Amino acid sequence: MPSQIDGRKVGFVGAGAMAEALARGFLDKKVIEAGDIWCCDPSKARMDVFADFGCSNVKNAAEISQQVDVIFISVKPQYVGVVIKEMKPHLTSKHILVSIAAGIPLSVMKDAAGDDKRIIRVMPNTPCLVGEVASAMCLGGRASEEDGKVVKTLFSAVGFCCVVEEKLLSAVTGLSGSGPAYVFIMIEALADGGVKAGLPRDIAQQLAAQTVFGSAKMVLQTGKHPGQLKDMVTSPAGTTIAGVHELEKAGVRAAFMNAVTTAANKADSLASI
Amino acid sequence: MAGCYSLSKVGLAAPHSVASAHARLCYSAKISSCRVRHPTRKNRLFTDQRKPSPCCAGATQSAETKRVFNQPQADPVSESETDEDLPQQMNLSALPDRIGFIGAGQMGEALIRGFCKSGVSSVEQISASVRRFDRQQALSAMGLRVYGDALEGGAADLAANSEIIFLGVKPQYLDSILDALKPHILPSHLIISIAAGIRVASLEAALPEGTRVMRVMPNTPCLIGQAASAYVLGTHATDDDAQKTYALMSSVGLALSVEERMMDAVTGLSGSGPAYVFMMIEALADGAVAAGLPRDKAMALAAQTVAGAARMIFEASPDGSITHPGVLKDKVASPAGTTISGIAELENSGLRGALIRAVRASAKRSEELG
Repeated sequence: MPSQIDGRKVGFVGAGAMAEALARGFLDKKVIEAGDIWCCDPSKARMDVFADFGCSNVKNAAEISQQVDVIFISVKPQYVGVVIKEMKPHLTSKHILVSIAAGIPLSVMKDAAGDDKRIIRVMPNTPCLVGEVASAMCLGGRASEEDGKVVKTLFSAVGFCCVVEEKLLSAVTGLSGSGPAYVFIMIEALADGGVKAGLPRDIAQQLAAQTVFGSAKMVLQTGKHPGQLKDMVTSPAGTTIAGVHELEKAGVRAAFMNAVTTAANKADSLASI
Repeated sequence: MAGCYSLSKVGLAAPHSVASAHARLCYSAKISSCRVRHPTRKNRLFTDQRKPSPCCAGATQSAETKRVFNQPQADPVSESETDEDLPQQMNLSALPDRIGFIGAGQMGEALIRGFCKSGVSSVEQISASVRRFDRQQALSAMGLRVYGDALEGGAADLAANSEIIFLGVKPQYLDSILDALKPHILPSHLIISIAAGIRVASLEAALPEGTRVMRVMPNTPCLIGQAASAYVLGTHATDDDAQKTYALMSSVGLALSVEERMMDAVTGLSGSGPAYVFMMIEALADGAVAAGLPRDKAMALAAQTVAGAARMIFEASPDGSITHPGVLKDKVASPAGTTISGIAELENSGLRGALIRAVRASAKRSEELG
């Protein structure tokens, strides 16, 4: 099966849950082969997990850079700079450095790696863990559009990724970074509504979650505007428009807008600390 | 014995019970161990606790599923059952029944595609009786046998050539369809109605005494094979009927067994729910646009965020159980972070109450219309 990234090899510095989800996604969607994935992690147990699905292990970040072309920095945010600095003597201009750490700007990566490196920062979100990420990336240093395409190809194996300017990453944080929590609240409340109307909890919970999933997939797969889709399902004097009316009365749309903008502002203020 | 039909095709030993066969059908949705309790007449209230990742229904096998298949499977049903190891690559076991659709509009066509894609049926096994010529052509092009207008002999022909009959016409046409169908119904027929708001009692009253009937309420995302469906056993429906209905509806999403008295609530929740989700996605995108993102990226990220978060409910737990949304919310809301500040806005505005009222209002309207 031909590699979808021109035979480039991929390495993970830090073999945690996110790295594992990414690696499994890449393999599952056949973007690359197991033989083209390396990882390193202080924990042998984590490296064994990767070995289990066919990936190779090396001892440290410096060794990884000798084996691969695309290096994912998947350590906790506070270690990103440290890890890159450790790799720096072994990094060349051919390497693409990709950080998935929340809140770590390109400037930190650049300071640690040097001005002449290709650096990419990705803001993923939690559903990456189940292969349904909503993410955005920004390019820094010498990273080219082609490099962006490589990373986009990789991420599309686990969901969605688009390119934005770095200054918009706080908006991305407010939406897709924090968004899952808003969805969890919505699902719980829908289930509560179902229980109030007489459904047993477990039925209500499953119907609520699947309804939310299926409806979001309709937006993604049909490409239709959600307003259009809403119109298509609200028949005159029917059950659905009665529910819609309650939501409009309560100003639910403003609530969601407020949630996103407030979270985005908070991301901005955290970034400037 | 009910349930044995599917297994010879995949070379497995006959199950000890219908429940094991049920589990195999769930495995055939290619996902993790299923905690399905078979919907028998006695425990009709019991639902399919862990439908194998409906999110994956029809999707290609994911890395997660491969990983789960490599692990020893938990026994999905009661302790007294034994469950052999299943082969890793397992296609959905096909039902031997011929399926006839009376009326096959968008919903009917989506069901047909879902049944065929999953392997639970095939175009050779499916026929349809539709009135409009363009629909006849479209369905014929898919490879189905097509009969003409049900009211002009189509119902008789279809009934003679089907074991399972799906009623996919709009509720207002149902009376005349049932009239046309009634003389041709045999005890061997299973009637499955997807007509919204039409109760089991009405269906049974219009058909010969003793006819086995199932009532199913799918929802709009059925059109892309991601339905949240609930089904009700009619008075004379058997365990086997319920199992077949479950197998069929699982091929287009989640399928849960409920009591008929719950159907208004189902309407309010999964029936109307998609509209609430569409509104939410639009509003999230609006918020992101307010924060500076271009519209197209805001919309794509919003929809994908909602899809991904919902999927976590089903897949966050390695043992295949549902994870409570409150637990997931807590996990992603770090102290003094961005997420909790967004959450505070939602709580301040009473979002939860609004959604509860929406479901109630829709359920109430369903009751009024019924």
